[in-house]
Formats: sequence, structure tokens, C-alpha cells
Amino acid sequence: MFLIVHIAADFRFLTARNLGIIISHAVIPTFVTWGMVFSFTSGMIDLSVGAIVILASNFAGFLGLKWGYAGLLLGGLAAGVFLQALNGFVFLKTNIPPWVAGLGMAMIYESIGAIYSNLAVRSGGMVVTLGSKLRALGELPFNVLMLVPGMVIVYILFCRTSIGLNVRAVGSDLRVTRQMGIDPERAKFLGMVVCGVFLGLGSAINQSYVGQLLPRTGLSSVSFIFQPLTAVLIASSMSAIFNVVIGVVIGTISLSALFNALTLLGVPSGTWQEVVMRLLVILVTIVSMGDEEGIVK
Amino acid sequence: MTARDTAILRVENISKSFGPTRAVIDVSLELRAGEIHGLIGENGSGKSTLLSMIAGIHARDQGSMFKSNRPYDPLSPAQANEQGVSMVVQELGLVDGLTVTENIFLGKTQQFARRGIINLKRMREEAALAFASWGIAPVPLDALAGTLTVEEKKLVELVRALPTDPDVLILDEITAAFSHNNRVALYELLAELKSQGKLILFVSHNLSEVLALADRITVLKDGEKVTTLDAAESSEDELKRLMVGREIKETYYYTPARLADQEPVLIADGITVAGVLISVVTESSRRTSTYKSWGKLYMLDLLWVILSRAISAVDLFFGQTQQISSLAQASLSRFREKRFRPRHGEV
Ligand SMILES: Nc1ncnc2c1ncn2[C@@H]1O[C@H](COP(=O)(O)OP(=O)(O)OP(=O)(O)O)[C@@H](O)[C@H]1O
Ligand SMILES: [Mg+2]
Repeated sequence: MFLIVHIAADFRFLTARNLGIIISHAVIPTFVTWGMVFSFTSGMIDLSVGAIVILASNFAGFLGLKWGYAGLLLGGLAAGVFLQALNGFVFLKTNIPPWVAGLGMAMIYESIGAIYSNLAVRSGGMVVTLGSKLRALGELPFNVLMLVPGMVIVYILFCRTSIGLNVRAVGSDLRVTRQMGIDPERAKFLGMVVCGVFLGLGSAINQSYVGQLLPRTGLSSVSFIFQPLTAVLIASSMSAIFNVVIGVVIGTISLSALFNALTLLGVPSGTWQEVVMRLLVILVTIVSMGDEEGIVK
Repeated sequence: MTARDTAILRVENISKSFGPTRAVIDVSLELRAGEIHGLIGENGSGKSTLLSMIAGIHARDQGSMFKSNRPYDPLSPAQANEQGVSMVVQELGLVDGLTVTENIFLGKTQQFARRGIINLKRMREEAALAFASWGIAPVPLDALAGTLTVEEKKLVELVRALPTDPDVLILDEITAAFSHNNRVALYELLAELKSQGKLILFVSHNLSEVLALADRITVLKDGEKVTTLDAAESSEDELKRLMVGREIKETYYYTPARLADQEPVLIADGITVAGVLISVVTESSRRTSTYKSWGKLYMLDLLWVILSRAISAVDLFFGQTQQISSLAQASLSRFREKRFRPRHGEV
């Protein structure tokens, strides 16, 4: 399959350089997806993740220009954790379903981003731009190196701490979990905070990778979550073989490879790549279901 | 010493209604340490409700409870647990998306944690030890609870109730799911617990089982206590008469889990192509139940993509597609809530 793509794309697909690009492109979605695993699994369906990444990336850049890489990481983490905690608070304290509340928060965060960029432009400047500074974190090999400690930490948090255990329990069966003496709200909130940590790390790498990130409006940041979503679907379809933490990495890398292949094959990015990606996911899902039919029944 | 003093658990005039249904009416019990106390009654007679109040699952409307002569008011099953009362509920009480080991120690993992990190190996060993030391047939410890049979699930629930070393163990219709061997193992376990001076509250529709096992039996009818009698001086016929006031021909019993199994996974009306795709996705995510909410969101995602494509194709409102698709998205979440009800079972 990969070979066919390789040949069809004039032998540009399976080169070391291109594989590097593929993995590089997967790093940021991987961190974001890891984060979302901690919130979405307990039902905190948060559509403002994209908007948070945009704000957190800008804040990371802002602190990064002051304090270097430490500022970059700190800015991403602080903004990610703060905004996710705020979301958690809003989701849990209002009776609005997280879907809707998340859209509302996305609008607010997008507006903050827009106000910020308008102010920046009016004062004759731009949104935070790294230029040639602090770009190593987003480039090979450092971005990929971040995946290793990332994977270990996510695994420990999700599978080996009560935070992850409770998040999984709440997502699977709220009634029984509550009966076992676990406070679901607390569990969900902690999940959101952990999500913020990984969104923050992803944002720091993101800022370093793109250098400058313009805020978007009109809820267009919402579409940001679709790739992580697809990655989780891929991960969960492989959950019998791989732990979800690894599954997510495989998922994001496969998607990155897919986008890359489509681009090399001349499929326009955006709309059509999105459609092809979804059709493929559905196909994979159907095939994997066929395989397991015998076991399920 | 009066009976009052030897009672480990006293329930005085407690009542509970669910809306118009008076599930338990003015029931009083005095339960002793070292006794197996059978609780019988027809379906809907209030057995589970009564026990749920003792186990802290439901709050009572009226009455009072005393454990070892001290007021006993558990606000949650966890609180009841702390005070030595543990219950295996009638409906299934495991978290499907967690492993057997995780289920057994859910909410009690602190004992295995160092600097917040759980020692899975020690937790698994402890679980294996619990099965072995209580003589309960082992269940694969790393399997997800959702993949177990009903009988295996009940065994896990039983094991989960024991490590807290309760002095009151409540078993609501646990044997119905058990094979002969597991029943025998349970009877032995109960005899052992009894000899340790524990109180066992035992519900079963199998009257000969209750007669053989229990020291005393309390009969409920329509939420009210009919009587408490010594098992040794009673008979199946007498118990049946007390339960219903006529002869029972057969006891029909249903397990909610069975019924749910037959319900469709998805009721999708109004959408065909998308509906099929969605049901595929739902089904696939159902298998790994932890990701239920992801499956749901993926439905929304798919719908959103399809819809926004359609909208941008038509390009209504002079190219203001962005706003429309966000609007569509907002309303879709509500639409989804109403239209799609993913259930357990088959497509
Ligand atoms: N959570 C609830 N909400 C509303 N009504 C309830 C609830 N739980 C029980 N009931 C009602 O209370 C009454 C007593 O039910 P309960 O489950 O205690 O009976 P039971 O003796 O345990 O029956 P079974 O033998 O079927 O287990 C029934 O009429 C039942 O429909
Ligand atoms: Mg009952």
C-alpha cells in the first residue's frame, strides 16, 4: 500500500526526509489528542480545544520572547491549564451540556484572540511572532523527542493513577462509579486540568513550529478537533492490541501520512482531503468490525 | 440481655416512596451478629429498596437506623462501607470499561499508590489473593468487566464487597446468576463469615435455598413487613402463603441486563446514509466502552462534515457559510441528543 503511494508519488513518499515531515506533523496533534483523552473520555466534550490551543500558543510565544524556551513551555502550560480549568468550572457549575458550553467558550476565546490581534495591529505590530527564535522545539528532532517523555507521562497518568482511573470509570459508568465513592465532578475537573497540561505542551511546540499563529473567528477553531477525534477512533479500534496511549500516536502518524500522501498525489488540501480521510476511517472501522464479529457474538 | 442489645443492626419504622410508589412502608428489623437473615417477597415487594437504604444507596423518607446501638445514617455506599456495611446490588454494579482488578479496587486504590502512582502488579496480586482466600472461582483479572458473563460479573462484585472486611454483608439476589459449583462455594463462604460473627442479609427467590441457608427469614409484601420467623420452624409452603396469600405456580424473574441486550444500538429516524455510517461508528466505539462519548462526538463530526459540505455546495446567504455551519453545529448537538439514542446491543 505504502509502496503503491510511493511509486505513484514519483518516489517522494518513502524518503527519509518525507517520513521526517510526516512524524513532525503528527507531534502537535498527538499532544492535543492525549490531552483530549483525559477530558472527552469522561464526557467533557469540549469543542473549544482549538481556540484554547490558539490562545495558549500565542501566550507561549509571548512568554517565550521574554524568557526563552522556559517561557515558551511555561506560557503554553499556564494558559492551557488555566483555560481548561476555567472550562471545567463552567461545564460543571452550569447545567449547560459541555457541547454547547464548549461552543460558547470557543466563541469567547476566539473573540479574545481577535481583540488581541486587532490591538496588536492597531499599535502598529502583529500578534506574537517568533521569527527565527525558539524554533528548535517545533523542528526535528526535538519535537519528536518530546513524544517519548510525553508517552510515558500520559501512560502513567491515564493507566496508573487515580486521576486516569476515575476519568475512565466516570466515562464508562457514572452510576456505579458514584456508588464506589468517587466524586464524578472532581474526577472530571481533574481530567480537564490534565488535558490542559497536554494542550499547553502541544501549544508550546505548535508556536515554535509555526512561529506565528493568527487567531481565528466564526467558530472555525472548532474544526481543529476533528483530526484528534479521528485519531482516537483509530486508537480505539486497535485497543485490543495497543494501549490507547500508543494507539493515539499510531493514529496521528497514520493520519499525517495519509494527508501527506494525498498532498503528494495532488489531492487539494482542505475539503477533499477531509472527505477522503473520513471515508477511509469508515472503511477501516467496517473492516475491523468484520474481523471481530466472531469474538463479539 | 435483651434482643435489642444483641442486635448489630436495628431498623426502626423506615419508609421510602418513589413518587407515588410506596416501596417500603414502616418496616422495623432487628438483625443479629452471626446470623444469616433471609429476606423474601414477591417482585416489587420492596426488598431491594429496603436493603438500599441500609447500604446508603437510597436515603430513607422516615424512620431511623442503628448499628451496634449507635445512630447509623450512611449518605452514600462509600460511607456505609466505612461503617462496615457492604452490598452486592441486584442490578449489575461493575464499570464495564475497567478491568476486573480496577473494578475491585475502584475508589480504594490509595493503598497501592506511591507518590500517586498505582502499583498495578501489587493490586493484581491482591485481587488474585482475594479470589483465592475466599474460595471464589477465579475470573481473568485483566479482562474488561464488559467482556465478562453475568455470572463472572457477580463473582467480581462479591469479591469487591469482601476486602473491606464488612461486618454486615448484603447480597441481593446473587445466586440467580450462579452455576451449581459457585453456589456451593458461596454457601461455604457464607457459613465461614457467619462463624466469624458477621451479619448476612440474603435475598433470593429460591425459597428452598433461603430455608436451608438462613437462620431467620423476614417476609415483605407490598412494601410492608409481614413477619420474621425462624427458618427451622418454617416450610416453603408457609413462606409462599405469607408472601402472596395464595399458592405460587412459578416464579418468573427477569434480569434487566438481559432485556437491555435485546434493545437496538441505535434508533435513527430521518437519516439514512448518515445513519448507517453513524451506527457503524457507534458500534465500533461501543466495543470499547470507555470511548462512548468519543463515538457520540464522531457522529456529530460526520454529520457536521456532511452538512457543511451540503451547505457550502449550495452556498446560501451570499457565501456566509462559516456562520451557517457553526450554527448548524450548535443545533446538531441538540438534534443528536433527541434523535440518536445509542443503546447496548445490536445494530
Ligand atoms: N429507583 C426507583 N424509582 C422508582 N420506583 C422504584 C425504584 N426502585 C424501586 N421502585 C419501585 O419500588 C417498588 C419496590 O421495588 P424493589 O426493587 O424494592 O422490589 P424488590 O422486592 O426488590 O423486587 P424484585 O424481587 O423484583 O427485585 C416497586 O414498585 C418498584 O417499581
Ligand atoms: Mg430487588
